[in-house]
Amino acid sequence: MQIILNNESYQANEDETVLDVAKRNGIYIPTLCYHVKTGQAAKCRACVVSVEGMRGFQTSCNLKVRDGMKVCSDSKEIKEAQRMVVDLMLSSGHHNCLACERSGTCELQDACYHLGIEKTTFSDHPTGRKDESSEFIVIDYDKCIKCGRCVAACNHSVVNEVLGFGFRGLETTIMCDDDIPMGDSTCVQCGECVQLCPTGALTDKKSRGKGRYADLEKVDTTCPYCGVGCQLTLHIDQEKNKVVRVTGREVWPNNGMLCVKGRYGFEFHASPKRLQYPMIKRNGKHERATWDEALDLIAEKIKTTVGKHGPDVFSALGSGRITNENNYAVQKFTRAVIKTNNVDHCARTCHAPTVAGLAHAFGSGAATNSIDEILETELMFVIGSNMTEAHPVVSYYVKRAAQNGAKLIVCDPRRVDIAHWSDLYVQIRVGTDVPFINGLMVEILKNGWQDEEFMKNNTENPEEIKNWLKDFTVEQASEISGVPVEKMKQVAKMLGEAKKVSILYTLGITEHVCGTDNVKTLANLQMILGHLGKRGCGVNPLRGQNNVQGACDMGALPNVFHNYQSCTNEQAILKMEMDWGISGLSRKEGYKLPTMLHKATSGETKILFCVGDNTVQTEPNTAKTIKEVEALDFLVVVDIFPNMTTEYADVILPDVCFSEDEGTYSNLDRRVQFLRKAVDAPGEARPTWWIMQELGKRFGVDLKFTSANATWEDMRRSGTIMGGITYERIQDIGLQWPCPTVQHPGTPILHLNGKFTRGKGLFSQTNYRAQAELPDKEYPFILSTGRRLWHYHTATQTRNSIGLENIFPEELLEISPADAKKMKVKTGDMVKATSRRGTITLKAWVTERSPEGVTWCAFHFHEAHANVLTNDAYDDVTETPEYKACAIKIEKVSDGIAVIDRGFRQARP
Amino acid sequence: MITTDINKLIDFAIEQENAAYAFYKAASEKVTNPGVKQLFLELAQDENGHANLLEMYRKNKAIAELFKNKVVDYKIAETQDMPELSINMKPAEAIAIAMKREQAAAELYRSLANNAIDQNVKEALEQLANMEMGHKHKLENAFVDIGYPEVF
Repeated sequence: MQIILNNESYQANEDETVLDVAKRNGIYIPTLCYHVKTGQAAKCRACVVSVEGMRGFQTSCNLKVRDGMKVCSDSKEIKEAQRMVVDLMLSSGHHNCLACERSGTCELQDACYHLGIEKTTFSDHPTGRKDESSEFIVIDYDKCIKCGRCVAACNHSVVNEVLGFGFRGLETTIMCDDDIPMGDSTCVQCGECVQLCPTGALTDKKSRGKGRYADLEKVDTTCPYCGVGCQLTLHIDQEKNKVVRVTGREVWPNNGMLCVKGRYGFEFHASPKRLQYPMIKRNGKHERATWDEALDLIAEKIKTTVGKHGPDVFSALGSGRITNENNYAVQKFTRAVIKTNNVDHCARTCHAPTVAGLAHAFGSGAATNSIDEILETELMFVIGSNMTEAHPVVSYYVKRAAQNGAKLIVCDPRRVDIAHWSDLYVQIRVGTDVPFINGLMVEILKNGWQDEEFMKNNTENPEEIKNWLKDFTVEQASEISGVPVEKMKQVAKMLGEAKKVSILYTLGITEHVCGTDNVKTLANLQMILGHLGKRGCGVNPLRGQNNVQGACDMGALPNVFHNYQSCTNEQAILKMEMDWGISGLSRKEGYKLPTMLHKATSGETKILFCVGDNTVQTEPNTAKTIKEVEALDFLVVVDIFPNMTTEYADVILPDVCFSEDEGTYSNLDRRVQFLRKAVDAPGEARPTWWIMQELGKRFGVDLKFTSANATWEDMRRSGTIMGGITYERIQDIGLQWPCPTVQHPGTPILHLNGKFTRGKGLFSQTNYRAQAELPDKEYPFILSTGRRLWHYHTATQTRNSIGLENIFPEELLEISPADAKKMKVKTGDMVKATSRRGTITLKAWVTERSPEGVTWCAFHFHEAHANVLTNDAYDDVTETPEYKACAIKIEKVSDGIAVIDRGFRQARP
Repeated sequence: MITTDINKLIDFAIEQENAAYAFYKAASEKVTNPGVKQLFLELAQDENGHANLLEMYRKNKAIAELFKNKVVDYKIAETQDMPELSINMKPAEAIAIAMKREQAAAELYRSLANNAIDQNVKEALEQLANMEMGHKHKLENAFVDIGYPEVF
């Protein structure tokens, strides 16, 4: 259709507003309360226009176009009306642009500029009221125009539901919770309100005075925290070589939203604690060395040791935190130069059961659907996922979908924060997922809620699974899982009657001795329901680290080359030998990470080349890991900070971080996304691909890693699923694999129409196995572990970024109120947690999140981390440790200062 | 085979589709994997459909409009070697066979079109090539869905 705007004809689409058409055609109409993400508000009335045939002025932000509509936005009377509105806004509070952080990006300033307003014609009303209590966000009430964008952003974009309006008339103000300072409120400091505020009312505290918007260089890149792969813009002070602000890019997968780490955890790159020079351990002390000295020593040591004992005494670790290019470089060096497949990475400690379980059921083990499809689903079944802390941006979508009417079931032993938004919270006993899900399937089949056609056409053994489940009852499932029978029936009914079900899970499913079985059982459930190969459905593991998907894709695994080409398949081996120009690749699978370490004590692993892993702090049973690491002949650690593992290294090599080189990460929905160099690396830090290239040369092998792009192209040439992904194609937004050719657009949904990679889907018969170490008289509590919102991995990045440590400065042991009462422990008291493997002393946090008998802590703080206690029992298929369950005892050490309990919703006491 | 008779061309094309039908039918009887068996049966059914479409084209040339638009060529068939037919073959290999066959058919018609002198025949051959490219496109989509198993 056509509309006439200011006497010119413009094409318009049915669902557009007048403001949309004007914006699209570069016609400025002042607008302050409207934002594309928060939707039409029509509150501020700055966007008024006149329309022929309509009485009075209309707000263009909510005025739908009609064919032939005649609109005027630039007449004298319209301009005057707009001017009056903006003038009144200027008079509310005190809008002084001189030192305002938003100067240059302020939409109120823009409106004044376009309408020619120098200062308000009314008297303004400065109150001087500011809220600086939050670690990262400043509220300047004098600059607030009450447009409501922050309130809408908090309640409908990220759905944290903290900000609201309070009081009436002139007294109207934004407020946190029940009008308490932001720093004391339930705000999780995601900064979405800052990003959407049109004025200087909400600004980033840490960026104040660090540079005006226009003076800073902007570099678009990918977030280095978690597997969501948020797209962000780094604002750089080039003279100081520092990131001073981060904003979210309004593109998929995050649509501008970030979490507290992504938006505010950015200074670590410039920390003086960074590793800057190669170091060699001499006489028990690490001393600075040149790159040549360090690399010569490593090459010499490898040559001597491998020459004497064979290539399998060498093992290497890539990482879910480094780029695809760097992971590829590590695996190619290990395979092509050393001639062993002993390469692995930290997917072993998290989602290995996902790949094993889903590959067994479907033939492919990645997430089946895309993040954005969460908004299209009818029922979200979240199991074993503390997503508001581990994958905050995914949780925003889940909460928004729930707010829009989708049903949400949250199943977890702990009442994790996402349960607050659920229709049904199901508290399950630790490690009883298999019988619980089997029980649900029994009930689904009993009521005929299964998708019979899908089972018949798309699965291999539907009758077999039906017959097998006949021997099981909901009552039995209830007895094991602790979920009441009626509740189980309710869950089954909700699942059975929904037309679109999306399963979202995380490490609560995988980090058990039965992790692979847990995943297979979830696959069974979705095959029975027929919710696969369709939008808004699927089995969707939320991958943990920023590039753990990519590290797998790149072949940092002992059984596959890059792109999952089997390293024991002769055809694939010959392909690589030809492409890499070498011969003699190993024909046998390499060691998995735990095996690499176990074999150190028997002398079968002598050299470990460890990149970005911090093995000592991340593997279960730290005392055992230390023994294993100490048993090595030679340990090389490549990392960005000193950590528990570098202490044991014979050579330390300084790596670059995410903002110091270009490259790619693959996120949790298989999206390969671009990283750009924004700042220079400190000292002599170098990218891993460069290190591997230089080491290769010392063995007479040119690995062809002359740049990150050259490394990517080297991978792509012999790759399959990523054969069509080039740097050029992902400059703006990423591409989802499989994308085998440069003509291919990428693949958002796997197993379309129920066509599985393995042919037909395969049901598995999974039986309950209890956790390896059950609580007993001596160790009566279960300890489960995980990740906190405020920290990441072993916290080298987050503890070296200003503010995050202030919010959450030390690890806490979460204890249920019932247990705390029995032990006379309150939040803040020091307690000693002891397992059969070690002891840590930390503060208690008495919280309703923990059920009776279950305690919880994370592994972020080296001073008191969970892995001192965790059990080195492994999933029998993948060797993934049972981080989610071990037995401990607790003793109170001393009284602490009482801490006010501000409710369970917040990710801190 | 450069003929000026479009009917003969259609006969030839139908023969090819029938041969493909017979091939997939026979293949479906040999393989053991139930998914692959079903896939071959579906492919046979598709070829039957293509033959019927060609018959319709013979009667009503306006149907050629359906093949006029060039489809996006992902060039995935070109990245794969022709798999050998075996009783244990995997679904992806079955689709690879089919997309390679469609690629070959499209190339055949395209090369014939390049050599054709008669404008009508040239057009008919180009349309047949486009039709085969459409089939190739569909199969390439199917291949991408299942052709890259993730091993662990």
